[in-house]
Amino acid sequence: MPNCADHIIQARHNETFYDNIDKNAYSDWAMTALFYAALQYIDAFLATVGMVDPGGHGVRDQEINAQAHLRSIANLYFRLKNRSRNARYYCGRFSLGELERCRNQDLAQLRNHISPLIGLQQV
Amino acid sequence: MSSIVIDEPVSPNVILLAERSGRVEYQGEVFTIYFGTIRLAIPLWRRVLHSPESSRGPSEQNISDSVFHSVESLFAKQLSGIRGIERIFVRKDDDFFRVWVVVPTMDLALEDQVYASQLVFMDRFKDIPFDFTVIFREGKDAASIRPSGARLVYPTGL
Repeated sequence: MPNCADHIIQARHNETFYDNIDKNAYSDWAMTALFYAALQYIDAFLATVGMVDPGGHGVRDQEINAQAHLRSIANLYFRLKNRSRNARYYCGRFSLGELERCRNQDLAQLRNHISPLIGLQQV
Repeated sequence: MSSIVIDEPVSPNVILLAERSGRVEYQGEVFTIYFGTIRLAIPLWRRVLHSPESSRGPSEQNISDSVFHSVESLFAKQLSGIRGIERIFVRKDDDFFRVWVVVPTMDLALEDQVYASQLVFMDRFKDIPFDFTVIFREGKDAASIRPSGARLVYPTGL
C-alpha cells in the first residue's frame, strides 16, 4: 500500500496535472485534479497515524471528522469533494476564478495545515 | 446475521430479532436504532387454517426501513433549517446512508453550514456510514435532479 511519501508524490503529481491542462476547456477535470490532490494529502496524514488505506470516501470522511487535526479543515476538503462530484456526475463546469480560488485557498490551506503534521515544509 | 438478540415485541404477534442496537440522544430525544428483522409470530391455530396468508408460515420483514425513516426525518429536520437548501434526498444502501443536498449555486457560506451539519450527524451516529453530496443546481431545472432510488425528504409533498 502507498505510504505517506507515496501520497505526497501523488498529491504533487495531481497538482502538476492541474497546472498543465487547459482549464478553460477542461475545468471539470481541473477541479477533479484539485480534489484528488487534497485527498492524497489527507491520505498522507492518515498513513502517519496508521490508516494506510481508508478504502472509500465514507470511511475517509469519518476519519476526517474523527481526527482532531483534520476536523478543522473538513470544510475545505468537502468543498473540493463536492465540486469534483458535481463535475463528474452532474456535468458541472467552473470559472477560472473559482478554480483558482479552490487552488489558492481551499487546497493551499489544506496542504499548509497538513504539511507540518507529516513533516513537510509549507509551500 | 452474526449474532441475534431477541428483543422486546414491537407490536402484538411480532418478535424483533436485532443484530445490534444502539441508543442515540439527539436534541433531547433518545432514539433506539435496530438493525435486524421483524419476525411475525403467527399463532399455531392460524397456521393450520391453510389460508393463503397462514400457509406461508411466519414471515420476516426487514426493519431497516424503520431505521431509515428515523434517520431521514432527522436529516430533514436539521438540514431544512439551513436557509437556501432547496431539496434533500436520502437513500439507504444496506447500512449506508447517502444524502444529497441541492442548493441553487456555489455559496461557501451555505455550503459550510451543510458541512457543519454533516459533521454533527457523523458525531451523533458514529456507527452509521454517511455519504453526503452537495449538488449545485446552477440554473438546471430542480425537478430534473433526483438521484436514482432516493427519497425526497425536503420539501415534502412534491
